[in-house]
Amino acid sequence: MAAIAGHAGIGEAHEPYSGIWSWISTVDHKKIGIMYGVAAFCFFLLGGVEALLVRIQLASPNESFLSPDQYNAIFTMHGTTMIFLVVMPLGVAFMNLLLPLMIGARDVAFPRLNAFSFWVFLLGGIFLNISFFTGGNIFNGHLGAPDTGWYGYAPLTESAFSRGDGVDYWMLGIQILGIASLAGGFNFIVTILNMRAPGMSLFRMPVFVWMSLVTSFLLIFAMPVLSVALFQLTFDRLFNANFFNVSAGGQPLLWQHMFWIFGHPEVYILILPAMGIVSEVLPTFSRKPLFGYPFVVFSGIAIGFMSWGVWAHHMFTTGLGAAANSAFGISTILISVPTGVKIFNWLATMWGGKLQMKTPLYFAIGFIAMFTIGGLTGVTHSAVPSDYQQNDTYYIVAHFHQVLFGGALFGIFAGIYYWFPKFTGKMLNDTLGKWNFWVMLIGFNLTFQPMMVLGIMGMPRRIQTYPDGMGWDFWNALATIGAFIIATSVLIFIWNVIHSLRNGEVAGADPWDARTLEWSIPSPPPEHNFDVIPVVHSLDDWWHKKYVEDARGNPVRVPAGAAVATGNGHEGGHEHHAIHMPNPSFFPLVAAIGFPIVAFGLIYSYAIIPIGVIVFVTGAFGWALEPASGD
Amino acid sequence: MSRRAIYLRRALVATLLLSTLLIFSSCSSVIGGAQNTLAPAGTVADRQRNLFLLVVWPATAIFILVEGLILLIVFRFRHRRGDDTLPRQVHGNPGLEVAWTVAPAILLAIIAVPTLTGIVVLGRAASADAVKVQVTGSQWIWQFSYPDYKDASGQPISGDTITDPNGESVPVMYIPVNKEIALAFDSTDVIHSFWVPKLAGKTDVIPNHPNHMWIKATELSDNFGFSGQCAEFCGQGHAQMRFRVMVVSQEKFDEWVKSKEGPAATATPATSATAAASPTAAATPGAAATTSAVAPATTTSATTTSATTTSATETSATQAPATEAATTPTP
Repeated sequence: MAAIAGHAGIGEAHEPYSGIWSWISTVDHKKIGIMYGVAAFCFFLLGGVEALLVRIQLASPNESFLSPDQYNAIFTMHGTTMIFLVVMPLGVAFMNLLLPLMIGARDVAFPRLNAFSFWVFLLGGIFLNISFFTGGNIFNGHLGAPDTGWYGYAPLTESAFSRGDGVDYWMLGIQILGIASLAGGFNFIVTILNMRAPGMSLFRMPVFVWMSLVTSFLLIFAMPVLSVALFQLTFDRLFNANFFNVSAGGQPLLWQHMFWIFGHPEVYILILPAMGIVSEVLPTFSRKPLFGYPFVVFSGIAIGFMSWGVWAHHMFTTGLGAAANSAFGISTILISVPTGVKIFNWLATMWGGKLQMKTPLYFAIGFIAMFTIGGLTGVTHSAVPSDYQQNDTYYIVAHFHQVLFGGALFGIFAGIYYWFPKFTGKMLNDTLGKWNFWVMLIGFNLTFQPMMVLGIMGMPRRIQTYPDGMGWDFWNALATIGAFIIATSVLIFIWNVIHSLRNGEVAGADPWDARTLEWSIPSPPPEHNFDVIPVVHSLDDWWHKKYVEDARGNPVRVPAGAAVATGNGHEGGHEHHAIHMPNPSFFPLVAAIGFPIVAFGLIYSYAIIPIGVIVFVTGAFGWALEPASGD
Repeated sequence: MSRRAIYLRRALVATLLLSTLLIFSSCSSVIGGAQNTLAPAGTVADRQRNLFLLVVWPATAIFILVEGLILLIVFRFRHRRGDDTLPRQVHGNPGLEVAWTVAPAILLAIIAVPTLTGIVVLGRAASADAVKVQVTGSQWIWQFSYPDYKDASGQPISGDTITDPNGESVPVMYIPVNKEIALAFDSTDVIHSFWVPKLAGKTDVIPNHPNHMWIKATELSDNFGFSGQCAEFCGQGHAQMRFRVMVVSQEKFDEWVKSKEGPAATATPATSATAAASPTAAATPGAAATTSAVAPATTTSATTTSATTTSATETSATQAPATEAATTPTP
């Protein structure tokens, strides 16, 4: 981080704090984005270690590496971590880093709210993981972490069946993370709708911005549903309410409906930012515009709407009846259409291009290749009677890892390799990057394709062990080997980042000859982003500043001096003395600290709750009363 | 890039492609395994397998098309060294795009037809002459009782316990071959899911939400029965919540029923009931309390379903005494 901080110092005369304090007090969307990324990556390593523990336990039949209690806690934390603390915040990291730059703004609409989102997320994630250390001695193998699955089906989560504090940490931790998501969602919507540079109409926005907009809307509508469900569970567990208490007539299916009304849009919250990233990477490295920009944008919007009508496909075996199962089967079939459209549009983008075979393109192509498998296996679930067999088996595990790892994470890696030079000023090493890609691709396929076979051969999910002679041994062993290969690829990535930050090739402003506005300013960008707010004339405006198309649609490079003359160059920055940037502030952090204190109070002693409230109110008042910006 | 590196890369691609193909081909060729969904032994599982394969083949075709296109594009349109020109800037082609929106939509509409008929057929109530079995899931044990057959003391007869091939003692449900079985499900604590892959897909076993399913075995099982297990995560003992379904001829089934009905057999359920009740209670203090509390609630809710299924009517009346398990838990 220190190395990155060192590079971020261009033109920041009024930064009052330095070193670690400049990060803690920052309201700069780029620094917050980097912190989101680094924090989420640390959680990724944690979730990855949990995955390895699960795979060791399942490597062979009748294994006793983990006890059932340990196994249940670890698979629950693996799922919860990867979804809420890794893929979601990695998407948010990219939104933070890129949205203002792509739409020609100097920051997000609410910079301090942005910092608040980050701190709430970080503290919520730490709070969730503190659960490991509760309820006994972790060094004796007692894990206090939640052990009821990331989806926490009632009534297993009720006090009668889950007596420890684990589920309390889970429901309160996710509640806290929801606050971060909501604040972020509103912030990004307002940023995208209100902060665009002159001329940046909605249909000149990069696809990543569009996908972020859809994602943000999904966030603000989906998270409250989860919050309500979690509140119901909280009232059940802490105050003896009866929402899901079966002996008092509670309905367990109520939880499932509410959870999946959140849960399915959530899948698209996880995947849409990655689709946006891929839609930026492919044109740049194909040296062609995105094929059918309106189709890609509208299919993203369509996915956003349709994601609200498919939740019960997680519940086909719960006995909803033929009418409901038919309706949700059909809607699930339908949602695969806009997804398929995108895949063909991406292929058509590359078709006829001059592919620059660099690491970001490798990962983007890997995304298409692997996500296609995820999509097609998804279609097999929409054939409802067939899903009665596959539901809750390793086939499902394979399917959603194709979507969330083969899809979302490959997309995110493409994004990391693509934009790393923009935010650090250094290129990631391309050879190491390709090693990273191939090792990850092989490890990924070795881990998850055997799981597809396992599911078809009848291996249910979430079992801590399995007997001999089921025909599952070979495939499980293969999957475990694959998991360690994936781990190796992550180590290669980490080495690449360390190596490249130290000795990496220095990146210019526009190392990929890219298309969008962020490449028109220096790497790393100055704190105020744009010396002069650009005026946008077309989609892929930066590309059209560099190239014009002749009558036959062939691009011709604009002579070198001309680009600067259009006013987009960074050399002409005399105005930036007059640029007002928001002041750094500690108050978002102070306000955020209030939430975990209240949560601890709910678990251990109500006497602590007022302290948390006071801390939050102090933060909120300090935030409201301090001057937002000044020279 | 050197020639060697290019060859190395192509070799990698080829290996990857081959291994993917290998994995895909093996998932249809391996038909062993006690819970293989592709080797059905019953009407329902057979229908589900056929629908799965019906979807898998077009899906495989699209998979090969997309992955093939990727490989073609990567090799054909890669940037060649020394080529400084830019490709033609194609922004899209509405005709093509409409085509690849409509084509999959048509394909999917075709898949929708057997999907919908499957939902209706598999979701129907069991036929009137079906053998009724009440299946009760509890942490972490299955109980089977047959409301149509009463033992000497007037209680419905219940399933047995056998030692499975791994030496563990598991509950077993007896059913006759080639006859429809009407299963009614209830849970005494958390959600479970009843799954015998060779006979049928899952039905969740949910407290306060009685479910039902019909199955029909078309093949006799071996002496261990068909393997089944709980498919909804239900806590500490989830992985051990296994059971067996013994598919026997009608004559053998009648014999078995008679042996359970006869006065000599009445002692067996009584002794094993105590054995079953105490370890469950010891494992989950909460569950024991809930079991007794749930019993009245289940009876009322089961009555509600009797409007929709004829099979549930009788089972609801006999379901309440949950302690009559003739099964031994596998902790």
